Amino acid sequence: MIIEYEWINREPFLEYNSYNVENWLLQLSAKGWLTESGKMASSGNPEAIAYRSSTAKVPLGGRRHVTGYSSGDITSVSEAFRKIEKWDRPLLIEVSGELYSPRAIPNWNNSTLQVSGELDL
Amino acid sequence: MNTRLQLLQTELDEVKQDLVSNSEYATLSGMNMLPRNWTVDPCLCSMETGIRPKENDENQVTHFLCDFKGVVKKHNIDDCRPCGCRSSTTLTLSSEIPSGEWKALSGYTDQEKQSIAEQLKNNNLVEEYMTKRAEFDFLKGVLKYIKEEDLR
Repeated sequence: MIIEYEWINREPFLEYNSYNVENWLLQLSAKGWLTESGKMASSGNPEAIAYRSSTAKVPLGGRRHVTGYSSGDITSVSEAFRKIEKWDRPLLIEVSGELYSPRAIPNWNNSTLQVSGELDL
Repeated sequence: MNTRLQLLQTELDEVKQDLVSNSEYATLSGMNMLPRNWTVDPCLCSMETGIRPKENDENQVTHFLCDFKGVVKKHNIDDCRPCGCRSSTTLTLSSEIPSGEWKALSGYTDQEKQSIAEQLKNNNLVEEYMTKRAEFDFLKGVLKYIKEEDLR
């Protein structure tokens, strides 16, 4: 199984009446493929995908102007948040659950209770 | 009690040190972005006091046992979403009556008994102890969570 994590969103939301950041929306995705060849064949489109997201609220006394956050700050905060909230493991479980779940048979006929035509998996 | 408070302070300092040595905790704490349930700023929200007399064979009160039950909230960082996380601690302390002042329980008014309990509470810094105890328990919980994650 191949799994790739990617930040979908790390976006600040301001207080209604100032440029201070009230909270950050953090959203991480995990994309999964069963095999490397499958990944190449799908041009990078995942065979399974899962998300985790959270709103990190900045307490009232600690809010900064939006320009007071460097991209390095945002990266380190989001990675710290990801680690302490333990996002990777549940994402992995969810993606692997999708990839290894039972499959439907495309030509199954519920009247004859047989596969109609060729068994095409 | 003061010795107990000092020991608790030492334990509390150790937990805080362990927490800030965790890089993720330090990063989020430094940026004021700790998750809400990791924010520990304890505040005492209620204190109940019970007082029980202990008598000798002649039915004279030799000392009172006071039970203090404190409930401490984890934090009070915003009024819109009150914190539901609380810690409860019970502490029993004894107030000895000097032998020359022993008398029957009926000789004490309710006000006198309340006064004895209040004095015992203040002399032994009970509220401070309760708050620190809760802070220690809350922070220890956060630390345990981090260590569990490290074992993963």
